[in-house]
Amino acid sequence: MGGYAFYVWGSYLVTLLLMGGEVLLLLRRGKLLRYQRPGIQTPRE
Amino acid sequence: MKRRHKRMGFIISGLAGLAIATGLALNAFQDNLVFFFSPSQVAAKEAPTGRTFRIGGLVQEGTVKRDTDGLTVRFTVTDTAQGIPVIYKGILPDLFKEGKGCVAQGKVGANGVFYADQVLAKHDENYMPPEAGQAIDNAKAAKTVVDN
Amino acid sequence: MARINWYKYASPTNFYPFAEKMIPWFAFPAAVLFIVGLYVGFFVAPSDFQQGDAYRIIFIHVPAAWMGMLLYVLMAIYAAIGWAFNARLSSMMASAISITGAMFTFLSLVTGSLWGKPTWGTWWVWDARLTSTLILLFLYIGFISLQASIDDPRRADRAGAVLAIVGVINVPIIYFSVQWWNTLHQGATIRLLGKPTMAPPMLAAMLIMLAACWLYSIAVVLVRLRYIIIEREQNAARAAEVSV
Repeated sequence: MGGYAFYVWGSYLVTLLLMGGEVLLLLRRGKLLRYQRPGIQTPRE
Repeated sequence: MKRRHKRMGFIISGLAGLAIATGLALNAFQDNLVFFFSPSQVAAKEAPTGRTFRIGGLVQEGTVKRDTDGLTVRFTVTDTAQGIPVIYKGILPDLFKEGKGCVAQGKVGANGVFYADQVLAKHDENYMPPEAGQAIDNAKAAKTVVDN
Repeated sequence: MARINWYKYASPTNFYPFAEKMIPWFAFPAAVLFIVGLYVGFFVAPSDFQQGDAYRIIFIHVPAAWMGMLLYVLMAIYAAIGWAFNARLSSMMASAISITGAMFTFLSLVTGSLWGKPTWGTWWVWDARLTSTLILLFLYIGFISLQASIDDPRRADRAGAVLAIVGVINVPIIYFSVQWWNTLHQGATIRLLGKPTMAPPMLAAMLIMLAACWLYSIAVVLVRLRYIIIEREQNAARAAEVSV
């Protein structure tokens, strides 16, 4: 990487952490929702 | 204190914090709308010579000279119309090269020399493989010879 | 041709199963395009004549910056529609977009900083492009915290809509900042008019990554939108129980 390895890999590591973090937080939110209301598939009025 | 009052306090302090943050950023924005001055503007006395400011332009070809201490660098920043001699002591960014863009921050001395305490490289928006870049540089050099 | 009743999907209850079916159609292509884009960016695209390999940060930096701006405009449009036509789903869409938009804006600032240090020689400068992008992040944070601090969802939607609409003015400022003022940040490589000033394989990698970011955003926003629909229904049901 011609001396730029830290910056280039650092950028893609931050990308992985941010996008991965967003997805993980969403999955946790979904888990919590299912736990609070078991058997939920679709909301009904 | 009622919950509702507490929440209102929370909202107000949150918005106040945001307003202060934006205010500070806008203030910086105001100062830096003119992020740098060109050598022509400095020559026309449009730059605030009393305080620290930035100049931007191209590093004139053949002007970069290093002192024997290996840290002090002298070069001329030009916008092809006017040039300003710059003295800088410190590490230059990788992209600092003769014929390429740079932005220097510092003060103008009484002798007309710009004493820089920071030098940044300003690169352009063109991205290409080294061979293509070399070809363009060669073409420019050839053109300069013809023009002269 | 079968007629689709699009109005049906404007109601949260009907939209919910529809969104569920759509999500995999965006999530999987997003993953594939990320891999293809990174492959082209690192193994096909040559190094740059000035910056060597440091320029490879562009493949995530530029798509992230574009997503930050485009998602803000989308968020403001959905918030405005939700406010003007009292359309609940549209307001929920704005809330769902805000987090992803903030994430991309933050990502563009961090990757820009990591790119600026080796090329410009500094992590940060207060030039017009960088400062206006920081203000975009503040606008997102303001929208998110404003909505989080108001309990009544409809009031939260209205307050958020006002902030989102006022803040839209910042997006063209970011875009044109490099033309209107002297900035350390270079000008646009890809312009609306004129040819992009970038070698084709480099451009291909960047556009593939942009497409991947779009698909990622749609998938993530749809998932979040479904959760917001459930949460709001739960809260409404709980409130109804208490009042009985």
